[in-house]
Amino acid sequence: MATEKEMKLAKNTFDTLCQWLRDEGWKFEADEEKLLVSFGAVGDDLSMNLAVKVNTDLMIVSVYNYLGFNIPENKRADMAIAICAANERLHDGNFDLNLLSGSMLFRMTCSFRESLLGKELMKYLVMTSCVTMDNFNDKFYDFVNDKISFKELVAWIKE
Amino acid sequence: MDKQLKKAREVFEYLCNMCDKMNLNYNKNEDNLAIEFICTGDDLPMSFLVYVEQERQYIGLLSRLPFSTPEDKVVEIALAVTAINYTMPDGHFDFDIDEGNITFKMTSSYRESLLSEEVFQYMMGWALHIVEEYNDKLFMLGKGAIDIKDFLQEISN
Repeated sequence: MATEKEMKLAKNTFDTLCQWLRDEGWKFEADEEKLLVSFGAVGDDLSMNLAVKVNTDLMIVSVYNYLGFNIPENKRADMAIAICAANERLHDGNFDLNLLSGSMLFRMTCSFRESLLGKELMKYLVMTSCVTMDNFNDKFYDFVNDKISFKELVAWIKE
Repeated sequence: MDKQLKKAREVFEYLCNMCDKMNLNYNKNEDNLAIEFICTGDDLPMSFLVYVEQERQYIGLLSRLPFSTPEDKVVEIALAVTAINYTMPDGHFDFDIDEGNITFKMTSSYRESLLSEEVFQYMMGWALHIVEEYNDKLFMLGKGAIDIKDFLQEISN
């Protein structure tokens, strides 16, 4: 259970995030009780759904950028290998795949323990997640829809 | 000196001071803004590399597991790492599908923000906990001593 001081820091982090989104003109839904913000973004091709959660147990802020489609069961093992190849090449953040449901997301986190996170950091987390997802989602889509093979996907990731 | 490099050096000095306060026996590489140290867990030794990423302005922590995965176990380990990562609120395991190396990684940005000693302590504590939790399981999986179906079932419970 978070202390009063920790809750204050969490609220501060949440408010900074909301203020940055307002400053940048993003349309978003904010749930102050859950400290959760949801919004959409459009990349070069596919749209993206994002959620930013302020976690008071671990004192971290997490950006989740959800892939707009699920990975079919017969492609999940290949996709697990592909995202291992992708994650290893990323500077920050990682792709997560739910092997049971096939849902996939890109995740970034930052700790705010005894720390004041600024708008620049919020921008970094959100924009890096959008750029990374936008870079990969069309290739994942092509793989899921049999437009490229597993070998081609991994070769593209390794380029 | 470049503003980002100056800030990175400040963060690096801050990290070194914290390691001193924690009485950690570490090696530092001032050119790469990185420190290395080893901790002994319940079973396998754990090595840590903490570095300051100057351009992207974050602290990174890497812990490479002391074994590599045989080629015939790449699919199993990829599935296991993916399943573990999905359950993890912070940090993730990287798996090099060509070399078979597994590395735990977590980051925390200091971009125009004030990072505290608690953030570093949290990163260390979390990494130790996660690596200790999974290093022997991934080792056994790579050796074929654990069945991947049982492993995935355990993770999903």
